[in-house]
Amino acid sequence: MQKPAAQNGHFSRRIALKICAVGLFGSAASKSFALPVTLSAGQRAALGNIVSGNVTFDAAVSLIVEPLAETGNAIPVRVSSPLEIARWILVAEKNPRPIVFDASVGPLAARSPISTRIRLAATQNVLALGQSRSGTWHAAQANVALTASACYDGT
Amino acid sequence: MTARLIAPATVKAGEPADVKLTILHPMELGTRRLDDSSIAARNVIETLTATFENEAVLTLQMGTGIAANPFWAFTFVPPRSGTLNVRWRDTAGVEGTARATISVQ
Amino acid sequence: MKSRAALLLLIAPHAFAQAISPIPAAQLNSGTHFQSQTLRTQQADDAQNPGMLWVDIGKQQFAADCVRCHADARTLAPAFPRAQREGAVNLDDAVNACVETKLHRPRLHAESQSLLGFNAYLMHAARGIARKSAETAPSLESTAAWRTGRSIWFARQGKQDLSCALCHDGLWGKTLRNQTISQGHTVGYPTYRTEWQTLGSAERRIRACFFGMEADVPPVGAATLRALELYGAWRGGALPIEAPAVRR
Repeated sequence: MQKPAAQNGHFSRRIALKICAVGLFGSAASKSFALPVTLSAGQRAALGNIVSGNVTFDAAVSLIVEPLAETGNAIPVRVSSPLEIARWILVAEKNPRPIVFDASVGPLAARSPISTRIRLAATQNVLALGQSRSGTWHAAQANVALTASACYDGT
Repeated sequence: MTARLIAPATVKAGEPADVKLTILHPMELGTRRLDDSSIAARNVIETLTATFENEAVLTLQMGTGIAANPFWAFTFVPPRSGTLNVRWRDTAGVEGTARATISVQ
Repeated sequence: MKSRAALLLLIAPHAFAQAISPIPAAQLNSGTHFQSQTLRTQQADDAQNPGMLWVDIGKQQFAADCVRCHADARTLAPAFPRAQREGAVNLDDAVNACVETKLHRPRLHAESQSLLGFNAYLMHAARGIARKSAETAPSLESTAAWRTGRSIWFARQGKQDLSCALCHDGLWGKTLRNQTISQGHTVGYPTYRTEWQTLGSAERRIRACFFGMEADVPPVGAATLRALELYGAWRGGALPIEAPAVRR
């Protein structure tokens, strides 16, 4: 019925970027592949002045989430990066409180993937922002469609 | 508060330890109607801190966007043998803790 | 509501075209079989399965209150539900009987953390073991409780004129709205359902089914629900216990 949590990627564009980046990574070339992101108005409003400077979509940050969620109550997400990360922020702009989590990462966990389960109030884009230890922000985004929203289930 | 903190008892020097944490908590949205037709007050875990021998591993701010009975998985590289301490606090001010000892070999 | 009407149109021709017969043993599958890979992975890994929180609660309670009499926790859950002189009795009833008569404490409420904890711990301890209800056939089939359960299983009821058998014997594996119809077994209960955002009993799930059929929902603890649970366990044959399961 449902594909396993999008292990094989859910945005073909992102896969393409990843493949491109693999060969050039490490030669500081990732920037030339980076796509500057125009955050949506909702995302900008949610982030306020937390994220300053440019945010770029590139292979430096990966977000894994299933494209079709069975309920909005508990959707597995995983963020990871080949860079050392100091801070992760996950944004679900259509949630009543759009900042899902804001994580400060100590040096011991700088290369840690982080997994959790989130609630989504509606079908929407989920945005993962990762700030490298040098201060640059990287982003990945994925659309999650709810096949039934049970976020406010009163059972 | 009931919680399950699962971490390896031993890791090789320089290798990451896989940590998985589940906390029993309703992450109450503040919209759920109870049997007596009153509404359950919003009550969520708001902060969570993981430290290893007083070194910061992970500090989380969270809220209603995290699923009930929060689950977190992360890794870190313990610089030496010691104890991973996790501490969290909800809207009602209730605190919980969990710990795991990891030996580096 | 529109989708419900459409559903009836879909179901009705099948229902009348084929007689509903029990599921052959070789085709028996627990609800896990019908879940997404995501939920199956969560269920299979104790480090990710949220139901394990209640197993831990029950483990502590059992160690404090029960081990003096019950040395082996694994053998308890498979004996239930069972038919007794007074009717069908499930694991919750058995735990509560102990709580009242041996521990001299008030009964634990249905769906309380404590009762779910006992149930989850005992079912988890019996993982991989088949319930005894199938073993006790044919004597079980001569009990009033089993016959009551069976008649409810096949009875058409509610505004949608459905029966348990219609879906869970006749249409399992097919899709209802966006969900695959399971065979309706209870070996995974208590189960963590993401819809509930908590662990819940087989009784809670069965009552939700009555609600879904738009039929009268029997009250918690009703003898009819117990009889239905007994019949359901019997039709699950040798399916191994796999609680706490994880469902959508």
